[in-house]
Amino acid sequence: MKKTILTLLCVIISVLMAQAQFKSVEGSSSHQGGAKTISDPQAQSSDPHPVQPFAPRMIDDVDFAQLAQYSNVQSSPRDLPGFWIDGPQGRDPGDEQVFLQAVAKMLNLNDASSELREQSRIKEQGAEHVRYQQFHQGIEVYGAEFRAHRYHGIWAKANGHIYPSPQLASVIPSLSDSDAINVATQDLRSMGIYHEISSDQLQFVGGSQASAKLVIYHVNRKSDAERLVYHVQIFPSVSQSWDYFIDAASGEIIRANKASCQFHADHRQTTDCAHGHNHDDHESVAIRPPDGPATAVATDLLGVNRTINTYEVGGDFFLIDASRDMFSPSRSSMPNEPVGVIWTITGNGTSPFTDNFQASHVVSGNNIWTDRSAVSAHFNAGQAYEYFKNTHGRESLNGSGGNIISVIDVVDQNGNEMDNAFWNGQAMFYGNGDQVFSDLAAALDVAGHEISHGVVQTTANLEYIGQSGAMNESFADIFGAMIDRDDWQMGEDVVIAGFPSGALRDLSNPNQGLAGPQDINRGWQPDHMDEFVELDNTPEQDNGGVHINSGIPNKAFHNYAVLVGKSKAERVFYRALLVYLTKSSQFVDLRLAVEASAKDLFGDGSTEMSAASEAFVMVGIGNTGGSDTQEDLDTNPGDEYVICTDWNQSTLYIFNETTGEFFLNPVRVNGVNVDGPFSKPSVTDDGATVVYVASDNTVRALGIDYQTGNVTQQVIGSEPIWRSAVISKDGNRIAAITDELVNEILVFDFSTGQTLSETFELFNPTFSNDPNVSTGDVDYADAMEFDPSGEFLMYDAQSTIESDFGSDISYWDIGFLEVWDADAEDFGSGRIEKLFSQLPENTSIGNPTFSKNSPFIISFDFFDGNQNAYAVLGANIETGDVGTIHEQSGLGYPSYSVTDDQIIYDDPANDNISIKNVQANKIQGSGSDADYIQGGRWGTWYADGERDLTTSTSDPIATIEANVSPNAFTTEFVIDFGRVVEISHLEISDMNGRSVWQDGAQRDATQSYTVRPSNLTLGVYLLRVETSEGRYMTQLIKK
Amino acid sequence: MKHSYLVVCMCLLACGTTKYTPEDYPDSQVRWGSGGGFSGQMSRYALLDNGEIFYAKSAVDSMVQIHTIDENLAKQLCSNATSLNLSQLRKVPTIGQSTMQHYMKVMGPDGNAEVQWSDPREIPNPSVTRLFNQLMAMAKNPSK
Repeated sequence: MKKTILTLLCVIISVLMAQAQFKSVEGSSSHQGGAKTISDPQAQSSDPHPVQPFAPRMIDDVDFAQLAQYSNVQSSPRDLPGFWIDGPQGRDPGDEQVFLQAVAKMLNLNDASSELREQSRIKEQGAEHVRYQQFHQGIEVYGAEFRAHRYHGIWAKANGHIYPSPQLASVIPSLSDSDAINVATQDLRSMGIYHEISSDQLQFVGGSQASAKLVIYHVNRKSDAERLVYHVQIFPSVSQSWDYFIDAASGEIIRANKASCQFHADHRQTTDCAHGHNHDDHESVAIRPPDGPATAVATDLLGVNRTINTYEVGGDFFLIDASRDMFSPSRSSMPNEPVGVIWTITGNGTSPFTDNFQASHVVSGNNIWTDRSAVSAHFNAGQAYEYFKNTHGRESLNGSGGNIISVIDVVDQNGNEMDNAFWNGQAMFYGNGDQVFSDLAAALDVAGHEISHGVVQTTANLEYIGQSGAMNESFADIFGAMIDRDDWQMGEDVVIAGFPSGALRDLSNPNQGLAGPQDINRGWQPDHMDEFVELDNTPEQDNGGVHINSGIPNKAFHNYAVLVGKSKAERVFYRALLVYLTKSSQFVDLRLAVEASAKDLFGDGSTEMSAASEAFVMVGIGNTGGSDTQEDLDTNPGDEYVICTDWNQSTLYIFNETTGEFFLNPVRVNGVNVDGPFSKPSVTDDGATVVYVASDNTVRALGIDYQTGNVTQQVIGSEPIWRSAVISKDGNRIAAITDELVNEILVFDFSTGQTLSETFELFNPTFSNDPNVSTGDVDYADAMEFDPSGEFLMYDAQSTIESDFGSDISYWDIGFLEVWDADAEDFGSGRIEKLFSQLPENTSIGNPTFSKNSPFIISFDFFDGNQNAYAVLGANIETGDVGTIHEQSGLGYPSYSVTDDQIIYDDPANDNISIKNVQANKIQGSGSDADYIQGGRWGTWYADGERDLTTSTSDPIATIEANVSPNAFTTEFVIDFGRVVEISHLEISDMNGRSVWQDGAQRDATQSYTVRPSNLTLGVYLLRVETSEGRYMTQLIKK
Repeated sequence: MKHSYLVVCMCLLACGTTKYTPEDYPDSQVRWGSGGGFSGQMSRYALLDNGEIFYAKSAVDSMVQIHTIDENLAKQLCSNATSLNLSQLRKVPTIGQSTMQHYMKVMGPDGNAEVQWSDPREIPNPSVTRLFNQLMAMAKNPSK
């Protein structure tokens, strides 16, 4: 369960975020009459991430008469801010000052000579590029710069962004720079994220923790919204940088944003926080629009001349390949915010494993490229892109044109050369090599391997642990070998020492002639399940040997490719990854997925399908029916009940689902109705205890005897402070929140005989590196439910995103909190995973509930503020699938039936509880709904039986070791079990799983058994023997 | 006579010191390492609080002693690692799975605690990665 909840949630995030119907909600939520509601979205601003319209001075503002000699003025080719001027195109050689004055006039500058200051000048053969920064009375105008370009003596182009001459009455600040720093510091302190950086750490932040500089700032980039401000750059910690813009007269914080030291794959804003920087150094957003794609011929690390695609912006060329179909000009701002490109950047010899990592563009002033590492990485990434595009019809790593980013020249955490390459979840990183490898950017199969990790991540997202992790590595090798398809070796172009074969790995021969696991560092991998290396699923042990046991599926793919050819094999395996495999799939699932894919592509009974089976049998991956990652619990065997309240929440009722009549109508203690609920009641799995917060805000526990109908009541939280309380399925824990509306959940444990308690603080984990993506702070939780294990608490909570531009935005979402560690028999770590990393605009989700028997299935309320529509949705955390169970006009507070084939929910239109069938996948509704309990509300369905809440119904089948000799056989073979067993079944199947022979002989208990199968043709078979000690399966060869 | 005396002394020295490996060390130790990526190679280290540093170059190799540092420094480093409360550390999840992993594990009579990460931004307490880098540098060059 822990794995299911905490490690598999990311799948659902991406899937859910891809659902077009998910729009975010806004507006605060509040409790009214005890029920949580989501307020009218019309009441507040509708954009949780307001982006103010940018008002550039576009070319339409130009007085063309003043620019007669510069007549090729064009509007921006895209809807991008900034301006773009073509010069006289050779009709006038021009003069730089004349050109500047013309530009200045056009852009409403009073005096170019005083307002434009040269920042840099690059001269190269036949061209000159000058960068200017706008100033006003000696003060920098923030974000206002442009570049002028001269080609062959003619000032021909200018681009950038300039504001009209400011009209500020004074540029004398009222505040000092230290005042401004103090304002920023206090603000960060109020957020609890400011820490004094020790003197020995200041070196990491450029020598000082904060600096302030007077600038003229245009609020929301509006040309008429100019303010004299301090631009404060401050490091609240070594790893964070913040930019503040503080009014120099009033001290008002006009804008504050986090600017962590990172680059962004496809995000809205690139922030370079090379420590001690200032914005003058930025290749900032002012450089717009692009000059466009270019090509160059350059030599790579292998000494081969490659044609590479580059991109020219303002006279500089960047290693950005925008030539592919996926490039989205309308969403790009070049060069820092491209969308749909292949992009190579450099780590400048810094380490991505430290806070000091500094990545930057690879730039050429003349489109001549001498950095062979960059050329190799850029070219190879393009090759990998084309492979997936042409072979599999896949548009980039993520299938939807996401950027492909390569980072060269990175080092390890101690600054030493990195003898490795890796995928970090967003980009490929290449070390320069050291003792074992040369520069890893050189090799196409390395690029193919790393880029394929991105494909795996955005398809099956195989968990990087154990067999699924080994499959993750294997798919990276498989596609790496298909991209660099001249051999089956991996890394042979970059290995310089340490591997006797000259290659790191070999799909055709994973053993590489080496002895065994002792030679792992020399290139040995297992090539058969007999050699599977059992390791702990810990980082110390390679997460269970993900780089070791990948040899087995590698070999299976090789086998298949030999049988059907590479082109068919790669298509089948890709389909298996795309269509069938899930995050925690195991080797046997891979076999089944490949067989299913072969059937899909080539037909049932096709040679490609039987070859798929054969390929896996040859590596010992048997057809055992697949691993059941959906570990269902046994169904509660008791009688079924529904506890609910009425729409006035006046008391509680228990309905007997088995008899169809109310069992307790209402629930009484000593002849008196129990108090109505303030929160939805929570029930233990056996129904014996009901916990809820009553209308007086105390916590009540009801003990129910289903034989007699007697009910006892305890006030277990007598202070009238409680808002919601739930009990775990086993009754060992209670989680509660108070009406203080703080971001805390209190958990009480009774399993030790003592009452222990722990307070868990709620927070929003940051999934995104995008500084524009904020999930805000958690305000408070509301609905809660324990998972069957009692280790995780699923909850919904309101969060608020503070906005600089309007009303704060509040939304509800769902999280999972690790409250208990069963192994340690202690409270859990408090880790939190969110169902969504960030809800789309105008949407909220809440009131989550687990299915009764599948802990990986949940249902919850969904609200679309754009459509003012509600729905009860279902989600499979394991697969990431999401379905609609029922659409309605209000919140449903769903609850699954005991057998999970139905679901009940509130019907606010009719003040009823309704019921609807759900499909076998438990996440989609079936048919129409029906009234279930008239006048009922907040129904919870349960049964009064007992069951094991931890044991799966799909216990693995016991296996037994044995030896078959001879194998291959001609007429008979002997199975030696090493101990006396009783054989209940003995069967031989062909590679398609068809039974071809069964042993019908009478058998006594025996240690060894001789088998003489008849009428078998020569070939490979599967032997399956069921014994009193377990199942034995092996490959059998008839010669 | 001289020869016999030396033999006796050596025996006494040898017999007077119990040699431990990280696997059977009863007191505090810190383990750390990194690996993965394209090569899949691992570097695993252990610092016992008696000052011995062990190393293994793969997930399956046994650890062998490579250095010894001052025992007081070792105890201080182990104490520093313990004070990080790794078991209470709330990691910040990031998008996607990195194929490179780093880990630090504190082991001792009072139990074990472990954290692993790929991106330092996953670790909200920078002291963890600082200590990791310090240990890694020390293991590669203990004289510094």
